[in-house]
Formats: sequence, C-alpha cells, structure tokens
Amino acid sequence: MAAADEVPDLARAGRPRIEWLPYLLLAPSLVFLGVFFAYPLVQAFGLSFLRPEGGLTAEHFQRMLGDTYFRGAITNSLLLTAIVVPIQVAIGLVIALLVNSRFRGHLWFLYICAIPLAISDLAAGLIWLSVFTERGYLNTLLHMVGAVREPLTYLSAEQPVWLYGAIIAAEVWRATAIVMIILLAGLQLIPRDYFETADVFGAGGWRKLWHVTLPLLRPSLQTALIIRTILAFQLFATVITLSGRQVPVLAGEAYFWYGLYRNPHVASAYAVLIMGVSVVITWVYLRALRTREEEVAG
Amino acid sequence: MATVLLDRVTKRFGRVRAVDGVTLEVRDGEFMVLLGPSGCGKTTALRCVAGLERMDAGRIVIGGEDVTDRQPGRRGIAMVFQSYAVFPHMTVRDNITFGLRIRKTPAEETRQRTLQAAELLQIGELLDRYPAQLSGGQRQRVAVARAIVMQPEVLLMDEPLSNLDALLRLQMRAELKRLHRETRATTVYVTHDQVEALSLGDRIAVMRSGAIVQCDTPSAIYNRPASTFVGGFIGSPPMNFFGGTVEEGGRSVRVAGTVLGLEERWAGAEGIRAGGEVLVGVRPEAFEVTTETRAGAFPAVVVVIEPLGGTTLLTVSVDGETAKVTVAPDTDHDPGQRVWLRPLPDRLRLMEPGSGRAVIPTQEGARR
Ligand SMILES: Nc1ncnc2c1ncn2[C@@H]1O[C@H](COP(=O)(O)OP(=O)(O)OP(=O)(O)O)[C@@H](O)[C@H]1O
Ligand SMILES: [Mg+2]
Repeated sequence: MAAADEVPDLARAGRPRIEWLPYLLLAPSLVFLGVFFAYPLVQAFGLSFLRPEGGLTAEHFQRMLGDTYFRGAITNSLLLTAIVVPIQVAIGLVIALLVNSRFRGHLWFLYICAIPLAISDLAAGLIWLSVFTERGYLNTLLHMVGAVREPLTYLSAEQPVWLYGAIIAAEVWRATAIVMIILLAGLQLIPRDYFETADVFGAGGWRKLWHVTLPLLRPSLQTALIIRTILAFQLFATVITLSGRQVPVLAGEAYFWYGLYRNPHVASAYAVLIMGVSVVITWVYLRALRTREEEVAG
Repeated sequence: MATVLLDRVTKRFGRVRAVDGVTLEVRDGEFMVLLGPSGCGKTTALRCVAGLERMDAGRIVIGGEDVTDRQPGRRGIAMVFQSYAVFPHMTVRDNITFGLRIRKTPAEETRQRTLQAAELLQIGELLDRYPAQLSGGQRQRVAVARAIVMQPEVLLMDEPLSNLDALLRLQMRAELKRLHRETRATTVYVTHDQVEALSLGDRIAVMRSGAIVQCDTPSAIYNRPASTFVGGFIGSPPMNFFGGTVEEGGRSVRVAGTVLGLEERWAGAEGIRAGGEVLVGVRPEAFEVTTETRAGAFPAVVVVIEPLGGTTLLTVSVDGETAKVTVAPDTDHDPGQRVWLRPLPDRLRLMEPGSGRAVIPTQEGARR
C-alpha cells in the first residue's frame, strides 16, 4: 500500500518543474544580443576564415598582414590607445575627485564636463576639425593675436605631431566624461567613514588618495579602463574626420576594405583582430587589477 | 594623557541645532559617556571633538591647547567609528599600523606596538587576515586596536558595540573597561544604551535635543536624576512618577489618597510649598510591597506579572496610572490582587510637574 502511494511521488520528483518566467524576462535582451552581436560575430569569423567558394583558408589574414596600411594601422591603434586612455583616466579621476569634494558649484561643473557624453564621435571629429582646419578657429585666433600671418596647416602627413595631437585632443575631449562618470559613481559608493578614519589618523591628501581612495576605487577603475580601451581600439570616426587615411587605424581599415575595396573577408579579418586584441587586453586588466576574494568589503 | 573641554559648542545643520551650546569638561584619564536618545546630538558632539565637523560656535580644548582650528590628525585623538571603518583592502596588520605608518614610526617600534595592541585585544592570530575574513566582533577589535596602537591622548568611540549581538556586547563591554584601566586614555564614549553607560562610565553626560541635561557619576544619575527625562530615560524599567500634593509644609506628600511622610531635607527645599503639586519619583526596586495596608503605603492593583529570573516585574495600577515594581522572585502575586506600595523614603525623589526638573533637597543643595 505504502509503496504504491510513493510511486507517483517519485515520478513527479524526477521531473523538476521549470520556472519559465526568468527565461521569458531574459528573452528580449537575448534576442537583441543574438541578432545584433552574436550573429554578426559568427558571420565575421566565418567571412574571415572561409573562401567565397567554401573551405577554410588563412589567405584573408595574409592579405591583411601584407597590406601597405596594416603596419601603420596596428601601430596607430596601439599608440593612440596607449596615449589616450591614460590621459582620459587621469583627467577623469581628477574631475571625479573635484566633483566629489562638493565645492560650491560642483554640480554645474559636473554638467559642463558631462556635455561631450551626448555628442557622437563623428560630430566630435567635426567640431575639432573646425578648430584645426586651415581656416579653422585656431588659425583665426592666432591670426587675430598676430602670431601668424599665413594660416598654418596642421592636419597633414607632414605635421604628424599636430595630426596626432588633434586626434588625441578630440578623443580626450569626447570620451573622458564616461571615465569621469564611472569613477564618480565609484567614489560615491565608498563610505565616508573610510575617508574620515584616514583624516583622524592624520593622512594628508596624497596619502589618503594613494592608500584609501585608489584601492577602494579599484573596481571602478577596472571598469573604466576596460570600457575605454576596448572603445579606443574601435576608434574610427574622429580619426577619419580629422585625418582621412593619413593616420590609418584598425577599425578604419576594416571600413575601407568593406566599403572601398568591397572585400568583406579582409574587413572581417580586421574585425577579428580587433576583437582578439580587446580580449587579450581585457584579460590583462582583469588579472592586474584583480580584487582578491578576501578583500571584498564585508 | 589629557583633559578635553567642549566650551559652549554649537553645531547647526540647516535649522536643526544638533549640538546647542554644550559645555563639558572631561578629566584626565576619565571615561566619559555621552548618553541620550537617537538624534540628540551625541555623534555630532563627538565629531566636533574629533574635528570632523566644523562648529558654528564654541571651542574644543584638548590637554590645555585650543585645537578648534586644527585638523583631526593633529589633535592627538584616535577614533573608533560605529561602522568600524576597517579598511577592506588591508590586512589586519596593515589596518592596525595605518596610523603609525602615516606618522613614519620606526619599523621596530611599529612592530612592537602592533604586537602589544594585538595582544591586548586578543587578535594576535588574525594579523594576516583581511577584514572580510573576520567576524563582526573581531572587526570591532581591529578598529579598537588601530586606535589604541596610536597611544592617543584622547580616545573617541561612537557606539562601538551597537553592531554586535547581545552576548558579544556584554563581553566586549567588560573588555573595553579592562582596556581603559590598562591604557588610561581619556575616553569619550557615545551610546544610546543606558546599561552600557552605567557600566562603563566614570561619569555620564545625558543629552537631550543637543544639550546636556545632567552630567554626573552613574550612581548619582541613577539615584538622583536631575529631571523626569533623565529618570525616565535611565533605568530599565524607568523611574515611576506619581502626581502628589505637598502637605504639612513639606513634611509629607499625598499620593493616591495616602499620606507619605517625607524626610526632613525636603521641607525647606525650593519648589516645596504646602498645597503645591509635585511629581513623586520612585525607582521600581525602591518599594516595599505588602498585601496589607500600612502607614506610608498606597494601594495598587497587580495587572501583569513578569518573572525575569533574578527578579519579578509587576505592572500595577495606581489610581488608574500604571507603574512598574520589581519584587523578589519568590513572592506570590496574582493578577487582580490588591497590594500596598511603600516607597523607601530615602530613595524617593520629587520633581516639579511643569518643568520636570528635580527638586533639590536642602542637604544635597548644601553639599553642592
Ligand atoms: N550631516 C547632517 N546633515 C543634516 N543633519 C544632520 C547631519 N548629521 C546629523 N544631523 C541631525 O543632527 C541631529 C543630531 O544627530 P546625531 O547624529 O548627532 O544624533 P545621535 O545622538 O548620534 O543619534 P543616534 O543615536 O541615532 O546616532 C539629528 O537631528 C540629525 O538629523
Ligand atoms: Mg550617533
């Protein structure tokens, strides 16, 4: 009798009931990511490794590596990232610390610093183009104060320092705000007691920054660095606007191979390369700035 | 070691006067407790001493020196925060040595003082752990060790036990008392727990709405509260207050239709006039409870009986007002029972009904 009663129970226990609601709620995001990220990703991989008529090949990568612009593109992308990201983090940190000190008018300062957030990279490129072009604001200003008689040319291959400087200025101006916002949010999450403890024990401004603020800000610094570095490798519109192809970059080459040479295979090879570099750098950041399990604030 | 003086300290937050003209002198080596209900300004007063709050008026003097304009780090203080604020990214050792490293103390001295402090707080085995690997009580010890390793002139503590469970709190309370006996640092200790205040303080400053209403030894605060507020806030259960009328020119008082004889010292006291109204304050344990009528006892009806182990707490009704009375645990009482309460004449206090201020009896007045 008892055994007979138990059989259906066991059967029911063996077939766990599935909760559908969480999957349902996740579905829209998953569909979005699938259609606009996962599918193109797979497609790019496919295009970069497959012959048009079928079969695996490395020839697209070979073509990419052999291209005259390739060395310049990878050098510029790495160099621009290496210069721009530290400047952005440094300035972003300074602004975040300033805003967080809540001086009089700090909110206005914050709003003004956040304006570039709302501006697209293309528009930012155009704004800085209007500064550095031959009849641009910079020359007009210099002419007005009598520093130059003839308009100077900045954005040409003969002036690589100016060309680079303009790109860096545009990028720093455009994308420092996002770093600042991430770091400010991180700063505001740190309980005030930690800073006051440092005050009571006599830590001055620099030591407080070094021993208390920066270590506790590490998760936010990590996020900001990863986001900014990945985006710096995708740097494209600002560079094209200011320099055309005089300063080739990886994302720009992907665009030219796709749009100009109508070769989606080599374009995809560039895309895969950008992804590979991004993955490696993210991994390095995660390792280097790792917060040990035991350090997690409890 | 040093004295601490808060001299007419005022701190406002917008329209709130968090601390309102507080003057308090803490003696050298003294354990001073700031006690009061939530929001009365204890933390703010302590933060003024630490220099973490910019005062609107007044001075802070530590060890005879006016430190009002000095940074917190230059006042010779150390502080334990309610949240402990133990740095999560440093090991226990690095937390404890934090202040010493800032002061550039020589390595050997740092090592020795760290070991000493760790030993005093019994956290010697935990030095290489991170705070996340510690229990709440251990973190609290680290915070205290970090403060005392500085050998501060003045130790400030803001409710350091409030995040611990009841048993641990009891244990740490005794530890803090021992620690104070061994270090003798002048201590200002904030709490809203009156038991903690009574057990730890050399003196207690009772605060209310930003002002100190009484500052005295625990026994004086308990036995001779300066107002109905202090009597009601300190003691668990609090002091009972009965409305009464002064008779015979201050030699007796009528409560619940019964004449209670008063000690002589009340007769000439200020605020005692024949026919005047007073509040008679009696601690729950300061009654003789009998089941038969007797002189100087007023009738009451038992409403609730709560055995508490060591004592039994009676809730009684006197003329429609409730009162709390503690009796020995072996006494027999039933709900609805009629009893007579005789306040012990030497434990009885009189208060002015309007202001709630205590009437000062003549001898006590003379003693002051
Ligand atoms: N930073 C602040 N801004 C505005 N008002 C404040 C601030 N800090 C404290 N107050 C107000 O000042 C008063 C006193 O606060 P305080 O923190 O000193 O009280 P407390 O006695 O320590 O209370 P608790 O026992 O709850 O900790 C309260 O009314 C509080 O709301
Ligand atoms: Mg408080």
